[in-house]
Amino acid sequence: MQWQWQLAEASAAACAALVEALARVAHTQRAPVRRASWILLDTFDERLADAGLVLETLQRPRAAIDFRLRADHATSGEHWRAAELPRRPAEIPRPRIAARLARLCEDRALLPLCRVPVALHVLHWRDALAKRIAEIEILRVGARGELPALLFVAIRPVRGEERACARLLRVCRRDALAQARPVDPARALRAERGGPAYRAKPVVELDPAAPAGAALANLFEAYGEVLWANERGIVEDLDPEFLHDFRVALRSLRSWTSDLRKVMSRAARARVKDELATLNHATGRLRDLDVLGAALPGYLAALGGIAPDAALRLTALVAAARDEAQRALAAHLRSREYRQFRRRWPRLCRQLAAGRHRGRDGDAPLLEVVRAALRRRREEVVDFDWTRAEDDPAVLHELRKECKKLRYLLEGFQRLFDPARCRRAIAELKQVQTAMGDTWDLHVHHALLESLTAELPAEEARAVLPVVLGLGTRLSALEHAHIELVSRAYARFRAPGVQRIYSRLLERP
Amino acid sequence: MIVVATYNIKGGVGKTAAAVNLAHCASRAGHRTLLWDLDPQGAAGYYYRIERAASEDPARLLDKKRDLREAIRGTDYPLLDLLPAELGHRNLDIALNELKKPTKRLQKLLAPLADDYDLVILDCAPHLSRVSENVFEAADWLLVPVIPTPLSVRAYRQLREFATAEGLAPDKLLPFFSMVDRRRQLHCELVRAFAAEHPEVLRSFIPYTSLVEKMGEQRAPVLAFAATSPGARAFLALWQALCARIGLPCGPIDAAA
Repeated sequence: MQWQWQLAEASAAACAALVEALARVAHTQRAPVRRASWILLDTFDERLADAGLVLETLQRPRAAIDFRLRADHATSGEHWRAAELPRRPAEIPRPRIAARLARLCEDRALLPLCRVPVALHVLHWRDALAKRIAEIEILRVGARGELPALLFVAIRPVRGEERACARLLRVCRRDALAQARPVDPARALRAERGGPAYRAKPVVELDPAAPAGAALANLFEAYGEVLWANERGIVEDLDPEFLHDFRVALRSLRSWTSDLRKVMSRAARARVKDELATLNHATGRLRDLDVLGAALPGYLAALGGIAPDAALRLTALVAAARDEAQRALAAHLRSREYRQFRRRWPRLCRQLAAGRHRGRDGDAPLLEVVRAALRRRREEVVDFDWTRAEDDPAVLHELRKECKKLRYLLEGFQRLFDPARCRRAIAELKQVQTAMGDTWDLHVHHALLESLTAELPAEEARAVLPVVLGLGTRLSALEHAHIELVSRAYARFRAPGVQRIYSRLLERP
Repeated sequence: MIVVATYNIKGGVGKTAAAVNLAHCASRAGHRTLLWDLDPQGAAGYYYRIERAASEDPARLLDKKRDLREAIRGTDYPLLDLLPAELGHRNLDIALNELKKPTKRLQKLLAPLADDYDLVILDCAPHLSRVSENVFEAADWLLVPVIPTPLSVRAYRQLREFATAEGLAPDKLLPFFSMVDRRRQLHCELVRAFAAEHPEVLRSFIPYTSLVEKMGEQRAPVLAFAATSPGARAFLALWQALCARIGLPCGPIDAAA
């Protein structure tokens, strides 16, 4: 149980006055003021916050770290102590909490989403016989630039002393805490200092009548932020989802650059496409190996009857290749070339918004340009020659890319259309994409396993070859079986019922 | 949740001192700890300055008509709670005998606390009764203080024989020496002989020290008022030896806390 407040006045003098006022209420023992880091931990996509949980810690230099996990606004929760910040739920020393968080986070990394230095004042209220009644924690977060200082108080009664503590509290509410308002400090801190919540697909407000060039600049800026937000996670190899989000943002940018091709000038478009293609190429291998690494245990288990040693070697081979690809990508993200791209991008966004680098459609109304692009892309998908795709995975991949481009257009510009229709259109498209994605993954994994084995010295290749051949046969069989599913999903997408959704979506208001 | 009982059929061997100090070490190490004072004398509560609770019929507790949580009190030390003794505990045996499956009651009472505490320490009264059987069932480990005297060593042997005869997992017994006076030859010889006979004995011991008696005057565990004394160091070493044996992280004990 605890009571928590935030004070309106948060200057150092106000903090000192508050400490004095609270110390006067009862016999009080004061601990020396300590400097600490107040850290809020969550996954990068804030799964704990979405589940209404707060995981926080006050980390003091050269001391064990006390963790608290509690429900949003709850007055009590779990507590444990550890020597280091956990990177993953599995590293939490309490098995029950580790299991609970692992279920929530699906083994996503736990990251310090908000870290601020605080001055920590701890007081203990005691009764006349010096029996402890309550612990009071006063946290002051100093002002930083334009950000104001924050002052929080938490009063935690000792178990069994709640009534005595409540009596003292009534005195405080008349005096020291008269102006305080009850808040959850973690939530208040996140709001004040945590920055905007991360979204893998930010929804950008778009004006249908605005020039297409300005709208594209806004989208470029928002999705550029997604790229930068995921860089650290990729370089430090915290979680494969960082790369996933990075690539989704990257492909969206590529897709819009080519779909809204006349919005930018030919020269600007060519340079952007070139830079994004380089980045796409640099990230592709690691993503493929990430997906293969996650799927491989399942493949091996389904295959059965294989020598454990060969399975272990193959797993190690994939892991080693993945680590190498990760190092290569991290090196690319630290390279001069990438740093230049990162510097140029905001400049391009500003210039495009200001009217430079615009092509023929740059000043046309956004809705007109997007509608035309969507119509074109939809035709590409619907009119695709399925008979070619059925037999050739590379052609099927072409169709898959067309679908992705259509999806990125719908997602990026969804604010221009009727939300319900847009959601349905995306949902229908998603079904085809899922079926095609599964098939393509099988194809890529087969090819990857073969290429990795081919690179091995003869002695090692002999050890894993039987497994790779067995897996190859199985993956090919699965791929053929999947084609049937894709065919059905694609036929459903082309059916008049689904296409009517698209027609209605694209019709003029 | 790990349950450790400090237990001996012989009185005055240092059960309560061990329970009080180990509970304090556990909380300092960051484990949420509950000390349950099962001895009607209420000495553990006295050390932690928590008065004995009003006497209630133990049958109500055993029938779960009373919530155990309501009786728990916080101590002066963070993460350490205490379930104070009641005079009614002296009738626990009688109440237990009237129940079906009387040896599992304590275990059932502790089960709901599994989410609240990492470690529960039971400070038991010195006797061999139905309560003892409950303690054997409920505790994962029984920490047995042994004074290096023939009678105390005999009491440990009796306890071990009783546990073996009743099928009460004698492997749970963790003896350690308490009130050791190294100036006495008898103590030294008995410690050596006992360690040879009982390899399960913990290698840390508590020396005979007036600090343990001062706990009653200070009404605090040794580590709280004489942190650097040999007595405090001995309890800390015992805590570390216990953790190593039972597989509990002994944690960084923050001297500044």
